[in-house]
Amino acid sequence: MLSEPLIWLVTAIVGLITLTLRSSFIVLAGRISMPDLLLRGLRFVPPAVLAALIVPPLVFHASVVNLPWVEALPWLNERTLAGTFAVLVMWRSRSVLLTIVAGMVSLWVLQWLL
Amino acid sequence: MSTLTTSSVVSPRSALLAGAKVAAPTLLSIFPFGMITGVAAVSVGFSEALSVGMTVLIFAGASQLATIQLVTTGATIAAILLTATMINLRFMLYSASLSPHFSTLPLYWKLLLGYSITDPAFGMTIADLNERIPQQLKHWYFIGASGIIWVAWVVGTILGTILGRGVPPEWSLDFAIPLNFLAVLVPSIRDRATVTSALVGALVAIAAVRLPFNLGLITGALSGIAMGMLMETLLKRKERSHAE
Repeated sequence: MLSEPLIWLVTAIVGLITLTLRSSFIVLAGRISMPDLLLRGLRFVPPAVLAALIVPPLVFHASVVNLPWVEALPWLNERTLAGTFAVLVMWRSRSVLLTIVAGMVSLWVLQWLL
Repeated sequence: MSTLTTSSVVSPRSALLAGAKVAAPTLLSIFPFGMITGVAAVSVGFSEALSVGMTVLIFAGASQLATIQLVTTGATIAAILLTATMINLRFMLYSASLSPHFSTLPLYWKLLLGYSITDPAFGMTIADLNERIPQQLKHWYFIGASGIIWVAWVVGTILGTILGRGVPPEWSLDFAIPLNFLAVLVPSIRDRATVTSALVGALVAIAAVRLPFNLGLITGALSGIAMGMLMETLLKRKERSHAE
């Protein structure tokens, strides 16, 4: 892990980038327009980036519980199971809070049972 | 409801209050979200100052959580910056649709308004900005909405850092980060093109996980975006040929 001063620096740069993205069009006010390709691609940023960000750490998580199949199917660990359950809850309920609660509780149940 | 609150917008003060009022319902999700961010930050070993400083400096939940997760998994700085940029690209869209409302203001106002843009502030105010709020009061209205969101988020983060210290690591509270992302991911999948984009993003990132400098994440994300756009084009072409 990076040292704390370095994390501060990274945080400040991310803050600056974010401020630039947010103020971009407000500051330039009509002097530029969004390139068409960027506009089309924006819709796919959340699904693609989030899936690429979340899924690998889940499937490569080193299981801390005794699932009987973990030797044969290491990717089917407690976090993938709880995560899949959370996806179902989000899909049915559309509630972010309920999804986080359901995912955490199902992970605890798996950790304490096994 | 919005007619009731916005018809009385006649002064900076009333615009500020009307903006705060219209954003108030979203605090129900923003406050706990701030707490989760605070808990997540201290549970991976960030100091309280850094955890709260991050909320103030970045003020964008998804990219904050991504930064926390990537820092803990030992990602490179370049990968963290690139990921945060991609996650926050959507703000350019908001900035573009807000810009006609704030075009005559001085630079410091524009920067303050830009800094304060969030998904809920934009979502709750854009209709009234387009239709009901007098031009000279629009910035007060928007800052009323984003101001109340800012306060709830920062206070939530502070509370989260206080609570998070007392939580033992066996509780696996770091799992709240991917859970939050899953909750944002699900509604972003609306049709076959976005399904393709998510599947390709995940599979390529898994296959490329051994690449250095977190290029797996970036490759996965870019492949997902590209395949989503390709799928969209193919589906549209198919539709058009059916119509003819």
